[in-house]
Amino acid sequence: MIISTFYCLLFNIPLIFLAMRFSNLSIIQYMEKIFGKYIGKVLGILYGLFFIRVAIHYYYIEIQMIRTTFMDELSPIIIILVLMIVSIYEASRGLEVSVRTVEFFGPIVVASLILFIVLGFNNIDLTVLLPIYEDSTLSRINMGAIEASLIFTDPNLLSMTFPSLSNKKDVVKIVVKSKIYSQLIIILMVIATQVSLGVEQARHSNFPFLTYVRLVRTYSIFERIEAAFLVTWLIIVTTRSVSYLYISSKAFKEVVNKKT
Amino acid sequence: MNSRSGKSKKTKGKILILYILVSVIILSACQGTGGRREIEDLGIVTAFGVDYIDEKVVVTLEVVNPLASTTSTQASSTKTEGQKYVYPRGIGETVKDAITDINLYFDKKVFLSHSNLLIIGEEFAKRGIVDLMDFFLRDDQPREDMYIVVAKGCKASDIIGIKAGLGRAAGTYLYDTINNFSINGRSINLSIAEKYRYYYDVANEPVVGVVHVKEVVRSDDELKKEEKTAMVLDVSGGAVLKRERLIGYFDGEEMIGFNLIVGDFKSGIIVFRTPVEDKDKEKVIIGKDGVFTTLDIINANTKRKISVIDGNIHLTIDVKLKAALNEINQALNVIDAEVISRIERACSDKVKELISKTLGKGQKEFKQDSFSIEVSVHQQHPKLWKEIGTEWQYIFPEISYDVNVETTIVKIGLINFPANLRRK
Repeated sequence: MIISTFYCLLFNIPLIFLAMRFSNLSIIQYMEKIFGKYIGKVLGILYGLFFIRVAIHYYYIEIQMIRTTFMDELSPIIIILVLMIVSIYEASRGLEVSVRTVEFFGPIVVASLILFIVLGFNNIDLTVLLPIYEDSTLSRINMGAIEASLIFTDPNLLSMTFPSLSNKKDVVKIVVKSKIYSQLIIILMVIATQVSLGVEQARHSNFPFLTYVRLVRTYSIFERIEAAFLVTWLIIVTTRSVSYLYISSKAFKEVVNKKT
Repeated sequence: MNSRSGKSKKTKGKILILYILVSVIILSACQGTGGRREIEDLGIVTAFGVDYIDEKVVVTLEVVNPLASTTSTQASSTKTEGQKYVYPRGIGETVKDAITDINLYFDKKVFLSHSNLLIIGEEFAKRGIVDLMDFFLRDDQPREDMYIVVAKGCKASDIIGIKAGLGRAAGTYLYDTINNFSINGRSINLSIAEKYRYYYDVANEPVVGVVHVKEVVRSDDELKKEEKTAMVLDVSGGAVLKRERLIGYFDGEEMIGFNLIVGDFKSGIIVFRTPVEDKDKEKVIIGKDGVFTTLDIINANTKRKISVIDGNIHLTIDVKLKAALNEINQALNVIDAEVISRIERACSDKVKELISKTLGKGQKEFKQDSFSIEVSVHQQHPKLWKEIGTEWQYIFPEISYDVNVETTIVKIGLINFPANLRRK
């Protein structure tokens, strides 16, 4: 995960460079300039479809999570209706609403995640951490890091919303900072989960951090807190899917030259 | 202006109607398919027992009867109606099948989220438990922090239902007793999650908790008239598994050694013979002179070092104990630093003996590494581990070891002179 930070920043250099080069255009608009009108439009459609697909995947995971662990008899159609109505409404209200939602929930989510990690301290056994540099090879570690770096899609969102930014000068600093902060939290979560469940068992678990939270039993006060985790997790995933829906719809609008 | 405000009112009205319609649809749908769980419809399980009889999985549950408190004050129409706990049993090809079998005659829907215990019958443990465990990891109801215990010398169904102590249900009583691990060190409380934490290690052979039925003499006058003895549950010891099959047990004393070796000894007592060098040095003894001393271990720290000597693996176990003098029955002046130092040495010798006994049993009797020594080899000599990892179970019984124990008495209690001494 630590090495993946480097790869992630490396892979996003072209996107950030292009965004700064065409600072008044979104990725769809400057793709038309680079590749020509028709290829640009095709790429724009693919871009929109890709994020629609990611959003659908997120909804699928949300439904899986809710139905597997909490409301196992609740009809999926109800979950889809609730999630879709909320997300589509929020995405339709524009970028500012989405960003303000993130601004509001961000500190709550980060604080909750750190709290969940801390509360599970009594399940932690550091002896499960084995010498990975000896057991593995450099190429395998790098392949894993590259795979992990692909999770970070925020610069793709940024390349679509770049023209709306007021402070375009500091974009590199912001991307690097956001990557490091998010990576720190992810590393903490991964380590806590692996030393609590075991490296292999964490790999076999569909929702490893949920299992970690299910194990929390601290001072007989904090226990069975997975419902609180579900709320936090739903906020994270819903805000992500809202942003994917937003940029996807914006991409299609720009492809067909529809003015908002 | 007026037409614009009228239009906005109309839009707001439409949104409100749409919102109410959507809410009504969603809420009405929830009523039928919401998967709500009403407490009166649930059979809340507090202990889960599994046996294997005639090649079938037999599940015995302890289920709370929430209506018992209300019906006990009234005349109960049936015997079970007034009982606080009921013990349904189901038979099937798999665990889930056996649970479903219970619901064919038991009216409440079995709810496993409150069960803290998974009791495995001895016969089942000997047969192997690996195929049983999938349900407990896959299903969302059983908790991963449920303790696994093997019913020593009996079936799980013999354990479920035994009530003693102040715990209300057998499950609660047994769960609380297992949790006393932190103050006795003679048992082990391994949960499903902990078992699977190490499950995938190449050479891992875990030790899980044990429970057995013990007959004790009743001391309660009222109850003594009806029955002179009572059945209680004893959790001392540990069950040794090999490839998920039960192959033997460690007793309570050996478990002290085991917990010290693996570094899980939280606290507990060490009883040993008092060193006699300084006995009654000043001829001051009055009363009967005992032979044992008890130290209460406050803190234990274990370090395992692996070295390779002439191509052979050597294990060094360093244990540092901090203890409080809890009881001394011999005429010793415990404020004398030399005397305290001898007591510390005697305790260290006893601990050394316990560790060597347990390790010896693991090497000679079970011939397997139940102590996760392989993890130390892997961490400290990763290159060597690559070569010998798959052969570890053949190498472990042959490794040499030495044990170093250092005891420090940090408290001598409220008195500074043994109770059976009187100064002349």
